[in-house]
This record gives sequence, structure tokens and C-alpha cells, in this order.
Amino acid sequence: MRKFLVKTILIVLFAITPLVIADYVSSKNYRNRDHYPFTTMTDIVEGRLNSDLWILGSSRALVQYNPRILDSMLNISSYNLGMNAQFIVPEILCYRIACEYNKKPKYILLDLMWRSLTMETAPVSRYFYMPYIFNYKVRRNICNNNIFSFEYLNVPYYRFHTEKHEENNYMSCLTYKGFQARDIPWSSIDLDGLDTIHYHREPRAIELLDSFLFDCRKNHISVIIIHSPFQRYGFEKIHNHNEMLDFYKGIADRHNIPFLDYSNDPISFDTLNFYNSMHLNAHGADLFSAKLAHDLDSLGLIPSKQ
Amino acid sequence: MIFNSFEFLLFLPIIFAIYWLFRKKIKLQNAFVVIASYFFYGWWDWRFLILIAFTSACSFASGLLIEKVRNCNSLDEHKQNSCAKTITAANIIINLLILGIFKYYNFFIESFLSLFPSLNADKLLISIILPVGISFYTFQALSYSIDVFRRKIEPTHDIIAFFAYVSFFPQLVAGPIERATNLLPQFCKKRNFEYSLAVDGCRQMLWGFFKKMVVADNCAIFVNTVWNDIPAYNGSTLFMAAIAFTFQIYGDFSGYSDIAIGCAKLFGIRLRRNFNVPYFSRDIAEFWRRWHISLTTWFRDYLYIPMGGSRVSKAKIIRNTFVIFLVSGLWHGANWTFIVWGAYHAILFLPLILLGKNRKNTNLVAEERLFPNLKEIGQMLLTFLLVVIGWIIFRAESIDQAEKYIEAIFTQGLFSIPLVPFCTLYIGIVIIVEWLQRKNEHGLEFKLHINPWLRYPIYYIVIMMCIFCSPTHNEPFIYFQF
Repeated sequence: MRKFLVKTILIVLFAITPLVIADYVSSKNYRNRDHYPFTTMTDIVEGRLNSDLWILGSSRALVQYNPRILDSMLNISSYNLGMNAQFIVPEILCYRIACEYNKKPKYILLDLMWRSLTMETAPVSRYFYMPYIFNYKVRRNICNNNIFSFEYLNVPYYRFHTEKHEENNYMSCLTYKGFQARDIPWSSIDLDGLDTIHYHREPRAIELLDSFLFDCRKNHISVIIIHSPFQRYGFEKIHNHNEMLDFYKGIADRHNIPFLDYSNDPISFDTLNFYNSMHLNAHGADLFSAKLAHDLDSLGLIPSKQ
Repeated sequence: MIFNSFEFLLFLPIIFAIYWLFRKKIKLQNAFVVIASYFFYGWWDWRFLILIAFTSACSFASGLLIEKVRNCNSLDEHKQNSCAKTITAANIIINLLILGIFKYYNFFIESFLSLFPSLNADKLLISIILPVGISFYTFQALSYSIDVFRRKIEPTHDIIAFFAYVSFFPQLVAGPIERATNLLPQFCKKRNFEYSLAVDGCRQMLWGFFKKMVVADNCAIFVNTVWNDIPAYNGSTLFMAAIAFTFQIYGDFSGYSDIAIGCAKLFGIRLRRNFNVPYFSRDIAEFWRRWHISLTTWFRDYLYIPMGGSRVSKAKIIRNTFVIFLVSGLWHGANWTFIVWGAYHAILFLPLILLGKNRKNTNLVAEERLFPNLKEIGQMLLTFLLVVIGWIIFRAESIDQAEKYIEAIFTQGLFSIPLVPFCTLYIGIVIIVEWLQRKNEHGLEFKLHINPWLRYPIYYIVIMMCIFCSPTHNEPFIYFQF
């Protein structure tokens, strides 16, 4: 029995060794990649955000808020932490991890949309943290999240093997301070295929949002909730969109923070500003960012003379 | 809990360690096997435990009742036999009823309703979860009851050993279907740790994982892609996908069996072989002696032979053959495709048995040679082709889809250049290894005196292939649905 156990353990160790090496090499390789999401995640983990303004949200935040324009108009340093295909749970997780490695911002622009307040977590968010799983601070925050399985968190190289399929989705996504300009012409394909959407929210997600907003207030971070431009025809498909906007207004009022709604802005009515019903293209993003910067300044929410 | 999961990788060493801690106390060791097996099974759904416990209890009780009846002096021999028969029949009926309700109720109702579309009886359909492995452990429990009746085995009074026999976790959910004459005595005697058996068990498990994770799961990707869009592919690609499915189901099922048998060896338990290089068969009869051996021998011993087997008139032989294959098809699932698949094999098998040629090829092909001769190659290819066609019917979701698939092979360009999937490489590896190792129980069975500098790199390569060459997501074991 002893001989069997010793041999088995030795074989297992021999089997694990290349996995550990492969894990180390792959982690290093992914951290050095020059495309989203690794440029953003590496900036976070290496404490390079150096920004007083963070933008949080889903892919709508990712492609619609241009830091270059916000920085120049508001005389501030901003960073876009928008996450593709993600909603409130991973967005707040990203904020918490960013706070672990970077000085806290003075302002947060929180982009909310019709799916934000759900507990959904797309598996793709695992991909974002892939090279950083064994970073203590990242690990401490993601451990309790149920999208990370035991083997994902603990078995060397396993996560790189299971997430291989995501690579092709992100290879060409270059970013500037987390922002991804999508220079793609308008297409109504997603709109044509879109059925009526029903906005809904989950109590646990609302609790998380409330907790996040309290936390920001405690840390003297001013949060501004934004409903960024939504292509009008697509917006009409959300059959209870007024209920959604009223709810976000209610949350903002409850926390005594501003809520800016651009669903009725002229930007939303011109398909030339969009590449699909939910996302502004590069041109639309620049227009919106300029408009937003102007509004933030004129409303005194983020004065340009800091 | 499935074998190729991290839960099982954590479960197995813990169970192994505790199991051998109890090696001096058989009853405790068996009790632990029952607990571990119920934990393993309950991982799927705890409600399934009620059924397996009931099945076990029924069969155990039937054995005791038969013994009581036989020892009853107030009954003459004829009456004793009659009572014993009744008890056995009752146990069979109860267990088959349970199996029938869970597995076939909705199928028969739907089939009946399809004959009478005007009948609006959807309320007759009920929402049932099919308990994993129910076909396997039910047959295993029944074999005990029948063997007790036939006096092949003495009824056991050790309820723990019996429950361990029915629920032994390596073979619980997908076989091999064990016989009480083989497995039960092993739970009734002391088991000693045997180094060579454990090492062989590990190797067999490794080979099983390779067949499942590398061969079957990679084939599944190609097969599912093609089957999801049949009109998009030419005939030769459809034929490639049919071959890929042939190896997918082999890799999946024989892989599971190897893992189960190998795992059992770690606990000092020897299970029956379930696959014996079936794709090297020279005729259909040989194929069925080498494929899912535990099920085919079960049907032979408990259905075919009691019906008279081959020692009856030709008409009855035909009847018996069809019954066996149709029941075997039905055993696989509640769908007409399985029944048609069974009938297809019955039609192929019948000429051999009527001409008395079903036992022509009982030895191993090219037993004393490295390569087969031309005749053997021809026989193997023909048998393989016939089996591939059968698997098309088996894989299809309906008879209609099977027809369309087979038709498409011939009408959509059978001789055009096919898509050659990457899994072809893995299929080639398994063919070569299984051919070279056809005399052994599994692909990695080496004599221990073979140079470790040769053995260990092979193990290592297989382990690395299991890790790096398996797809990113686990395909479920096909036979779990049966």
C-alpha cells in the first residue's frame, strides 16, 4: 500500500508540474496582451488607474464613454471600467478589486440599463480575471462569487483550458484607458430580431446597488447614475421603460445623487450614432462624451476647474 | 457526480483511504461502501436514493422469502417451487413496473395518443425525472433474485453486503451489470490490498479517461455540429460523422466501463469485462459477444435461454431473436429509434443463427499474428459498416431523421471530399492501441516487468493528453440517459 501511495503521489506531482508551469507562462502572456480586457485588468492590478473619475457599467459603458474627451473637457483623469456583457454583480466586483490596488476615485459615473439590476453573471466575466486568479487581493474578492468554481480557482492551468473559446471574441479589441471605440456602421439586424423586452429587477441586485452607493458615500466618492443614449426604436422595445427610468430616479433620490437620462436626447434618435440598437459607435460615443462632459460641468457635478 | 469531474477526483482518494482503514472489519467496510455509494448516487438527486433502496430491499427480501419457502417442511417440493416462483415473479414485476413507469410511461402514452390524434388526453402524461442508472441497478438486483430461484447462489442474510452489491458506486450508474454470483461473494469475504491489482486499476482508469475525454468528447463536437445541420454537409462528411459517432459511443461507454472496472480494482473488487474490442468483429454475432457484454449476457441468460434459446424450432428461434433485440433496443430508451435499431440488428443476426454460423468466430481475430489477412480485413470492414448504419438509427432523434440522414449520405455527394475532423487523429490512436492490446483487458495493460522507462512516459503522455486534448466542456456520458 505504501509503495502504491508513494508512486501515485509522485505521478500526480509529475502531472501537476507542467500545469503549474503552463499556468505561470499563460498568466504572464495574458497580462502582457495589448487588448481588452487584459489591458484594463492589468492597469487595475498594477495600480495604474491614477484616475479621479471611474466609469462603471456594462458594454454600453465600455464603448460609449470616451476618457480622452472627458479628460480634456473636465480637466480630470478618467478611466473606463465598463465590462462587456456584465451587469451589476461583476461591475461592483470590478470596482472593489480596483479599489484594492488603486487610490479611490473622487467620482464614479455608473451607467445603468434595462438589465443592470439582475443577478446574472455571464461566464465571460471569468475570462477577465483569468491571469490574476492567484493574486491575493483579486482572489479574496472573487472567491465568494459562484461563477468561479473550485477547479477554476485552484487547479493550475484549468481556467486557460476552459476559456480558450473566448479568445477570438477579444483579440482585436484595442482600448484607450479602458474605452473601446467601435467604428462600425449601423445595422438593424439585432433590432429586427429583438422581441419586446420586459425590464425587471431583482431584490438582491437592488440591495447590492444600495450597498455599493452607501460604500461610495462613506469613501467620499460622488456617484452619478446615467442612462446613456439608447437607439430610440430599440428603446421603444423595452415596453416598461418608463418604469425603469422612474426606478433609477427613485434610487438616485434616495441616495441624494444625480441621475442623468439621455434616452430622449437627440443623439438617441439618429441611427448614424449607433452600430446597433444598444451601443453608440465611435462617432456617437465622442458626441455623447462631449455632451456628458458639458452637462457634468454645467450642472456643477464635476466642475472642470478642479 | 460524474467520473471526469473534480468532485470525483476529490471523492475517490478520500473513499479509498477510509475504505482501506476498515480492511480488518468486513461489515464496517461494506457499510462504508454503501454510505459512499449512496453519497455518490445522491449527488445527482437525493430522491433517487429512495428508489435504489426500495429495489435493493425488494430483491433482498425476495431472496430470504425464497429460502424460507424452501425450508418450509409443511410444503411439498412442488408447492415450494411454485411459491418460490411466485415470489421471484412478484419481485420482477415490482421492479420492472418501477422501471417501466419511470422510463416508459410517457413514451407509451405518447405513442398511443399518436395513433388516436383526436383523443385529447395530454393529462395522462406526467412529469417524471428518469433516475440515473435505474436500468442498470434494476437488472443487477433482478439477477440476484432469479439466481437465488435457480439455486445458482445461496440467498444472503447480510443486508449490508447486498446493498453494497446493488449500489457499488463505480458500476452503479452505467454498468457493467454485475451478477450476484460474481460480485456478491466478493463483498462477503475479506479483501486485501493487492498492489498489482490497484496499479492495473489505475492504468485501466487512465485508459478509460482517455477514451472518454479525448476520443469521445472530441468526436462529440464534430458529430453534434453535423447532426445539427444535416443539409449543410456533403454525403462523405455525413459518413465521417457517422463513423465519428461510432467511436464517440464506444469511447464514451467503454471508457466509462474501464473507469468503473479500474476503480473497483482499487477497492480489491473484480468486475466483469464489458467490452472486448467489438469493432474488430468479423460478423454481427461476434460483435454482440464483444459489445456491452454484461447486458447481452443478461438477456441471454434471463430471457433468451428461458424462452428456449436456439434449441427450439426455427420459427421460435426467429421469435426469440427478435424479442431479445427489440427488448435490448427498448432497454436503451423510450424512443422508436432504439426499437428500430434493435430490429435492425435482429435482421442482421438472424441469418447467422438460422444457418448455425453465429459461433463461427469465437477466437480473437489474427490471434497469433500482428496483422489480419485480407479476408479478415474485409469481414471486419463489412461488420463495421453495418454497425455504423445501426448507430445512425441509434443517434437520430426520430426514425424520420435517421432516414433523412442515411438518404443524405447517398444523395449529397458520397464521393466528394469530406471534412476531416481533428478527432480522426484520436480515433486512429485508439484503433492502433486497441489492436495491439486486443489480447489484454484494456489498452494500458502492461506486464509489470516491462521497462519502467517505457511505461511511465506512456502513462505521462496519456495523462497530458487527457488534460490538454480534451474539449473545454464535459460532454455527459451517453449511457447515463439509459
